Amino acid sequence: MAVIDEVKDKPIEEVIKEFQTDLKKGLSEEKVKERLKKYGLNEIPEKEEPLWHRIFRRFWGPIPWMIEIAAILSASVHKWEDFTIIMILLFVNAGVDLWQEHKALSALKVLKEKLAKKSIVLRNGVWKEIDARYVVPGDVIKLKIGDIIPADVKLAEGDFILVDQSALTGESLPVTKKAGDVAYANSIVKQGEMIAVVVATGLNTYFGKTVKLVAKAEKEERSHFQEMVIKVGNFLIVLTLILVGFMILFELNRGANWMELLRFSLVLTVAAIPVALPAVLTVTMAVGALYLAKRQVIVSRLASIEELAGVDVLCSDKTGTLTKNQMTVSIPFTVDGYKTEDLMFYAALASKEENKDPIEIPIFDWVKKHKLYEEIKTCKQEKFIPFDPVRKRTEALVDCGGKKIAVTKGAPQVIIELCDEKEFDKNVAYERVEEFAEKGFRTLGVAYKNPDEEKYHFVGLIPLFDPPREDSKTAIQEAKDFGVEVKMVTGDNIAVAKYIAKILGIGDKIYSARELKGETYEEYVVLAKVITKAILEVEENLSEEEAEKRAQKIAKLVEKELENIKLPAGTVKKHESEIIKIIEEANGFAEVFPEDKYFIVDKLQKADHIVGMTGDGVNDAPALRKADCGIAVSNATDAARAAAALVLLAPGLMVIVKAMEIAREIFGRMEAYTIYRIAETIRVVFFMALSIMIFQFYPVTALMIILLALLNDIPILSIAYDNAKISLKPVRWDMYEINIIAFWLGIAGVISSFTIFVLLVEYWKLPEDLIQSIIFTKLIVAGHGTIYNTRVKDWFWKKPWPSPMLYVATFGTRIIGTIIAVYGGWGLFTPVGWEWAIFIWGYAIAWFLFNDVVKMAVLKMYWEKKFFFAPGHFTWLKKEMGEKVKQGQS
Amino acid sequence: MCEKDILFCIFYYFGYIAIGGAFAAGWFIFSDWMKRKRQEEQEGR
Repeated sequence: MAVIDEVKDKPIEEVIKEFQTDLKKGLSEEKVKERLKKYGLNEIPEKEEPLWHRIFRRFWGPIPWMIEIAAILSASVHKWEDFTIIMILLFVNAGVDLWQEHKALSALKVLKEKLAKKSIVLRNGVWKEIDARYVVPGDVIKLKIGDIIPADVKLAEGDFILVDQSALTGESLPVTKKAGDVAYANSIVKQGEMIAVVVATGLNTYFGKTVKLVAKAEKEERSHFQEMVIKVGNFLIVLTLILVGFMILFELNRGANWMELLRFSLVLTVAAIPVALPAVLTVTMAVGALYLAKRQVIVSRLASIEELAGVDVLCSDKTGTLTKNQMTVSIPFTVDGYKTEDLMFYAALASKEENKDPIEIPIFDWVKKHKLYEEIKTCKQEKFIPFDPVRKRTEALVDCGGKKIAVTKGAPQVIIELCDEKEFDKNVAYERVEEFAEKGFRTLGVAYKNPDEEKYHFVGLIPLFDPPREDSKTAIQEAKDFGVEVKMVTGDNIAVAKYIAKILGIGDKIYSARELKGETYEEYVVLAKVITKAILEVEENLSEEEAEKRAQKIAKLVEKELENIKLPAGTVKKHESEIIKIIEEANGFAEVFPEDKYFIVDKLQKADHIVGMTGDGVNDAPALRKADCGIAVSNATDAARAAAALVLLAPGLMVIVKAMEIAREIFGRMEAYTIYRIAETIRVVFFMALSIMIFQFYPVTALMIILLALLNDIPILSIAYDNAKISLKPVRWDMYEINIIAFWLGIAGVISSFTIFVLLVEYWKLPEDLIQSIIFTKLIVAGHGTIYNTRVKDWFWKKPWPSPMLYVATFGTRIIGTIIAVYGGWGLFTPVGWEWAIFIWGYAIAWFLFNDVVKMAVLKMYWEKKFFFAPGHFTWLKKEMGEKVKQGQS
Repeated sequence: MCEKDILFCIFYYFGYIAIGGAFAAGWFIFSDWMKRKRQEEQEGR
């Protein structure tokens, strides 16, 4: 029986007594320590895989088996050098794999820690925010809107809370809970605020009992890109196995030594198939995610980086993201005889600083900035009537050095009407009020009088607005430059939205959310007019003309009526395609409710956009989950954070725009590596198969293949730290493009290796062992060239240049490989000497330059859709053919 | 002097250029990296 069931029916006083706590003071730190020891942390422990198992896993599976069999075969024929090198490969592969997994898991751990839930607890009589995992039974906690309840609790004080516990109990509607009720861990507070006593934590909660020990550190789910890459990887494995199979049959038919053949085939298969492909992609994303975390952006899943890179429409909140979320005084209006200082002075006297009213804070900020604060402090407020919706103004009686003044501030219309209109031009004042309203400013009227005077003296108007953040305009422009359209989404009224949109250069197409719903009463109006006209003609015997006139009048009245009422369900709506068009064309939406956000995301997705949506409240959660990339802005509620793909720790749009750019870089790195790896597989397998089948001898030895695998594969991991080009357009995986570049680069590689092989065999007629050493040198020097071809979709010398880490790793291994080849690996094989080594460098670089031309040609043809079987190729062909036919006819 | 045939010699001399070019590229890459690092520090990123 869960603890929560035991306390369900007990009165709150009894629960407080049982848990030895106090609603006014909470627990003491000593008690907390004691209970942490007794009950443990408030978390569901994850079943972690033991280290020995993680190490063992590296030696168990199809790939390790192949290497192990090759090692056993080498040992059985007493090829001890081969055996040693194969064992080194086995351990290095295992080590690298383990390191990669460790890197990815620790990145996930860091991200998880940054996303840790917080809880407001009363400890030693002080409310403080702590990590929810340190909450213990008996803790007094505050639950507020948007919180995910951290533990099972008994509600103690407060009116009520509305709790969404659908994830736990399946109830679809939120449940109202009052003092004395219990609430479960992991349910969400949808409304209200209450104080509660924690009764169970961690595994003892209702949630914990349900999921006990099921949870474990699961591997990250895969993104679409990874899924596709893995599919390609599988295809390459099949291709390798087929070619190697052919090679085996061919060689057996030739009467080759089967043991030697099996050994060679095994190492070739291991070297050719892209074993590390998924791991490298995960590490590239993990390294990128850590970099994003440094920039105050936390990804909740590594896969969301891909979605972020593809966002083409970003719906951004206004308040706090585009604006400062801080009311500021704009340029005030004063009537003749008063200065701005006077206006602000009286306004401050009619305010109460300790109330920290967001409308009054900017007034005090202004007076402090203009050194009026000291003067205000000399006045004493004797009476203060706060703002209320009926009077619509504040009022104070102050004593300034013995002189008593009555001051008031509030809704401008109310203040103007209280004042002596002989002293100022009322019309001008109202005009200014209108002007401010058009800009969406909140305006305060200010006036004062002597206590014995009847009418107030009007001083002026203070326009207040939430100004844009300094970087918002640049961020919006930057987003535009990178092919992302920013749409403003705000709950504020249209006037404010339009004003801010204008300042920020978002555009002037700002619509009310009502328009989005597509409800139209046009048909009702037409119907009203037709019926009225018919009635008038039949019942009143009016002429058609007269009936038309009166029907038109009535129809207008009906239209006005319909404007103000909620249209019934089933009302004729605009067609979805019209709504989508409006949303696509709009620059922003005002008067938006959270459910409208969901609607906007849904429609944009239907138009094939990848949508980013920001949000902070509990009601934003569905929209954040629906969006391709939900973004919880800084200070968002737990519920919004849990639903979002990205959680921002710093405010502002610039953070999001920068994160998008970084995501595109990460995407670029993954793409470059994938193309490289596919091309390399094609190169190695096809070249080996061709050489063996045509010339009947192995172009390299088994030992050389292993050396190649070691020296070629590992340094490429540094691609995770490379400088990648930020695509100017949102990126989406295009497997066709990847495959087509990889295929042609692979073919070029096969031709280059095979040409030198033919030259060595037929033209220079060198001995077999020397040929093998030279081919080894060629493969080691040329192999890494491919990554420089694939890392930018432009000429290789174009910026961004490679990172020093990638350069050192790849260039360094080429030098090491060359030295091994020159000196024959200290007895492992025939030395090639420096002359041949330098020759190979020249040959490899010449082909590298040629490969870059191949890449550019393939890209150009692909982009122009002139490539055979490329998507759109046939459309292009049809068009071309059409043109030719036309030309022929003319 | 290259003592082998013309085909060998073409690539042989090209090899020197390639190695020299690779070192030069390394120098450019590092100076570019240093420059950007300094710039980032200045921007306080």
